Amino acid sequence: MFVEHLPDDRGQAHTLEAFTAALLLVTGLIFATQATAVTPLSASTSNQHVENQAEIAAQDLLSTADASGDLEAALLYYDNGSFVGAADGEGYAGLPPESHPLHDPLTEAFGDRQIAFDIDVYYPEDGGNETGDTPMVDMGSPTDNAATASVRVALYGDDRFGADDQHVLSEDGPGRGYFADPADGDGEVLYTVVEVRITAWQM
Amino acid sequence: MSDDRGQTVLDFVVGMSVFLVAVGFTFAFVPSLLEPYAVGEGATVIVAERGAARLAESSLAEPSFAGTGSTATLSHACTLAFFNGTGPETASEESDCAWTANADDLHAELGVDDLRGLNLTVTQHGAIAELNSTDGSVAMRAGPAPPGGTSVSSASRIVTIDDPEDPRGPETYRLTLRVW
Repeated sequence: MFVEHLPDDRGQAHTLEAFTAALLLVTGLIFATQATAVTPLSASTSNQHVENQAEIAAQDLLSTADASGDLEAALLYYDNGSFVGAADGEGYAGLPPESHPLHDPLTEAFGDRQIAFDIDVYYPEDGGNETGDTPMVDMGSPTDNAATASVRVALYGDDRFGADDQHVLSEDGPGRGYFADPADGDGEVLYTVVEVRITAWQM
Repeated sequence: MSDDRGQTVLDFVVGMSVFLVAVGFTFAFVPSLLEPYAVGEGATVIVAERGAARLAESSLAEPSFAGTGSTATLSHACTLAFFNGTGPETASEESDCAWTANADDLHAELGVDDLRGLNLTVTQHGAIAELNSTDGSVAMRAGPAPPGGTSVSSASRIVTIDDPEDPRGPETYRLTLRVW
């Protein structure tokens, strides 16, 4: 830059060079922010701690609802081919209605925190050769940073289901359109075992 | 030096200042780029997660469920005793509680150094929940409020407490531990 050329007839090159150098530096920075997954500027959805917390919340919700019996009650809150208050065969599109046994836990865990979730129920079909599934809550497709938790729940033949618990599983289950058929035989003692899976993600 | 060059001094000043501002900006920005990878804060996150797990899964857990995994079903008697200042011996004898120090000494219960700040709250719909008993109600909170300006890590658990006097069945709460 400071080497003199003789004869010297250069002019106004420094400003141009400085802008070129500045452009190079800033381009380097922009490239660095684009190349890394986590930066202070990127959304916190990819933050590992947020993901862990969603998973712990889902796991806690399932284990406490399982222990208190609310989870089984939620599975039996099913009438005329859909969960009570949900569209036919589609599950709830948001938080379940207040009469639903899982309304309060789901509100505390996810509803107040702007966390979206799906709840799916998996059950054996065709004598255990296939697995069917039905959505209980369907808020859409999860993002790449979703967390899941699941638990298995046994349903017994003398459990009562319906909006007012008016049907008995082993007698009315298949006839009244309950989502799962008996796993084996007529299901008088053990009706079936279903897996409840929560997928939660930051909106 | 020949005399037929144009505006060299002015040009040099403008050029150098643009360049130096760009260098300064880059060096000021790079450390904040690396912030998410800094390890310093990781410790408080781990203390918060482990502390919340200990409280939800063993200290305050229903004795019949304790040790059976990740259950977060709390015992009404143990939680009430923990927050209303009952001594550990009394609580252990009366309700078979697992905690060894009550809410007045969170550091001892969680095995955390006294230099760290701890704040424990049990909330429902965002407000601090109260636990009812025959001797009146107790607000479920412990430790000082986190100071402003410091970086605070928090971890939450979803827990249920079944009040035997309440016919509605188990209520769901959010247990939050803040560490700084």
